[in-house]
Amino acid sequence: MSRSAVEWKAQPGVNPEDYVSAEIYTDPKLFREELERLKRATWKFACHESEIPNPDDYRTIDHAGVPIIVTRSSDGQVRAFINACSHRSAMVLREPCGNAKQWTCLFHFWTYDNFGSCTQISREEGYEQAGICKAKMGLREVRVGQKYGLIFVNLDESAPSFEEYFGDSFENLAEVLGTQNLEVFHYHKATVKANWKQWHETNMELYHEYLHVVNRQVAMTGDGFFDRQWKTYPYGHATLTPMVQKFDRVKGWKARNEKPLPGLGPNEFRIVTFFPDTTIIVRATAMRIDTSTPIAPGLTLVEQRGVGIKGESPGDRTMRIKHHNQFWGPFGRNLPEDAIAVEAVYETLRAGAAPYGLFARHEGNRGQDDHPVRTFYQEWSRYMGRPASAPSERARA
Amino acid sequence: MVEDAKELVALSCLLLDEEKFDQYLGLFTPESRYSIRAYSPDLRKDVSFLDLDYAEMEVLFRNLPRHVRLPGRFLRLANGTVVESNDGTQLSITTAVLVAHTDLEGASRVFAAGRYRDKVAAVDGKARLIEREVRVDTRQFGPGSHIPL
Repeated sequence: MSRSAVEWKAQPGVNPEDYVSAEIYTDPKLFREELERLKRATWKFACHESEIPNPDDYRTIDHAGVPIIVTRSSDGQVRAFINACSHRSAMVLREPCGNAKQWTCLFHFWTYDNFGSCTQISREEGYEQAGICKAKMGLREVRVGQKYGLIFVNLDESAPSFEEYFGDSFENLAEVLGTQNLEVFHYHKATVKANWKQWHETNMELYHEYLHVVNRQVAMTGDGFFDRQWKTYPYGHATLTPMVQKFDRVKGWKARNEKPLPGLGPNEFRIVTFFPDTTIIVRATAMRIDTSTPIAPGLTLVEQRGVGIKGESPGDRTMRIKHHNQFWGPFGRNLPEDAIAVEAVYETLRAGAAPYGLFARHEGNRGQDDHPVRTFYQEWSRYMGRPASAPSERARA
Repeated sequence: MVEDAKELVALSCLLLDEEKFDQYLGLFTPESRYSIRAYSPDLRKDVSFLDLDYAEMEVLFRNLPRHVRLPGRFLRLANGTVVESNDGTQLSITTAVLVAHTDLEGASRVFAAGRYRDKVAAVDGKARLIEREVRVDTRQFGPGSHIPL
């Protein structure tokens, strides 16, 4: 039976934590508030250590609209700074990566070393009466946390420590990431016409695996697919019981028995999602690190990295790249489907055609239970001070 | 041979645009390879987006109807073929290519820009692709595509 306008707009008659309002995806005010209260207050995956392997290497990223330099300073330590000149705020480094001991702003030649100190102000004497000098004009440093080669940044100096924030959430990745030196072999960006949370939902709401013909063959036919258990952690992270998948169920594909990544058995699948926007998926021989940056309520920049073992043979690397690209990358079998699906959702949300999204599957925290999404939105609500089901209401606490 | 090779490039575009995948595959030899690669300024090295042998291409095309694909259609415009080398039996040619995508509302946009770097040989009197590398400048493809460029 179809529903009337009143019925369509009415609350869905489930617990408030089992649904979210469409406003959390579309409201421009909420979007700006998210950047301030949530994104800039949480730990953000910036890059892998292999992207800045040498002293003086740097990488530039965008974190919630804030340009950031991540560098391995001349002393070998990883540091991060806001990529804005202390003078007139021009972006100091404009390349995605490079190697330099000194960074000179193009506008007026103010210069900084890779410890963030200002080392040159052109004709500095002109500032004497204003009391401006190099010693006071360093870059704004940003907190850095590192684990298993992953580098995170945090703009909020009062946010929980890196160790407290992530706790034990890396446990399913300890051997995978921590046994051998790894390096990024694939990097690409995709601009998706959807809200940033929708993208992250695709990594937690595994009920959507029906979307992917490859997953229907490889994963859903695997033993115990529906019985895997989600485990969630403080601060909104989640992981799922590993399982063995059947990659050779896709006609023309082969099993992934040889050279799995460290700590994995043949054909083993693992996933860990980190609040609020980063996910690591491992499919035996191939790994993807996925993170997103919000551009507008309905526009998200997704960054994806493929990771292999540093120093592995050309043959092994070729195999790993092939396995990565079977699922992921811009011409993979799965990635376009995820993008098309979330864009289809945003098409209805953006003008208010649909009032809410349901995350009401309860299956004892098993694989297609919405438990990790609900955990995500509990955390979202905590940062935002309002329930995701009724964001116009401020938290009563 | 050079003119045949240019016609082969044009035909490859037309057949992919029209999704005549069997005929498109027929332009390749059974030993051929197809790849899409780019230089990544982020990593300061080449990245591979697709690298298939002939059998893997067959699998990709055979499975296409089962995927949820980007609605609309593609138009490949290949132009300015340059012969890089010609030893009498094999040609290496480079052709600039733009791929436009037109959505179901009729809006078109550039989906990809790059070059076809082809190796072409005469097989049974017909020009055939023995290798195609699509060297793309584009590294953001929106939602991506299940169909090669």
